[in-house]
Amino acid sequence: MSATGLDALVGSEITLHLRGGQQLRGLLRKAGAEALVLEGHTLSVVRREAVDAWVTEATAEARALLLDLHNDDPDAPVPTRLQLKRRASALSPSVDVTWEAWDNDAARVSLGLLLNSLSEALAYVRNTYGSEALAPLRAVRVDAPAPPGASRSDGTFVIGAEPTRGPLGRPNKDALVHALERDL
Amino acid sequence: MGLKERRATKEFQENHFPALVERIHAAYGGEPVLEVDWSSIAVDGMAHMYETAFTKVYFETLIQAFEAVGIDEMGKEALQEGVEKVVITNTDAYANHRGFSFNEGVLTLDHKPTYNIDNVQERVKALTTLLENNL
Repeated sequence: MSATGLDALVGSEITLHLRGGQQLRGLLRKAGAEALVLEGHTLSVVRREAVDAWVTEATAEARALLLDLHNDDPDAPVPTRLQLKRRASALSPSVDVTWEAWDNDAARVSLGLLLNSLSEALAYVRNTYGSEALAPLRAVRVDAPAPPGASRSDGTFVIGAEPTRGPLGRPNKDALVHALERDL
Repeated sequence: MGLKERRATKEFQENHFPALVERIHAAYGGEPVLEVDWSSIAVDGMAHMYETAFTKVYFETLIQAFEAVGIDEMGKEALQEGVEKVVITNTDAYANHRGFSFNEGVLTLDHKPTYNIDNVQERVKALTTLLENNL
């Protein structure tokens, strides 16, 4: 949809159907017209930080889900805690997570995407530097809520994340790779 | 509960319940405490439906959800560590999965026995998700 088309929608109420059967109702507000693209029931966020300016009356959880729509398949079901535990334990080294911090749909979506990024980052480092580069790494831990970031020290890779902030609340693959590459 | 309901409940308990309990134990990988509030689920005037209704609404739902969660070792361990007791009851307030809850190791299936009997898959999905999000 063009920016002009979006401008015509300013002031109208919309309902977005998010994954997990959740709905997000909101009033479109005028902001950077290039920020969002609305097609059917799917709102693609081009400039993610503009979401709050466009959609009001949304819960923090719904906003975080909306923020993550851009990164993942919106039709995919929200991963359950046990599914995430399976994925965390399948990584090498396995990932220790404070599960109580990830107790709603938006948080679990965010954690699933964080584990994806971590998996990709570990694979990248292995492929680039050889598996011995990760040999000293004995543990991976996700601290939450904590300032988003990652650091590696004394054989432990510590990732900080804020479960309710969507992509802004977790380090992306590049940040994880950068942190893993430190001290190599 | 009238005589007809008592007879139908006894028939279910003696002829159908033991096999279902065996399947529950197999799916769980052990023997959780199973508490069935027979007087609440044996609703008046529905004795002719007990076998189908009890089986599909409560037991088949529970068995299939346990099987889905316990599909691997991690799931089985999570079930055995997390679910200590299963309560099957009918407060007459729920005809869908909103009456399912899991708190402090107690899994409760609160559902009217003769409503939405054939919605087994819908209940299994909801119960599986409830368990997987809390184990």
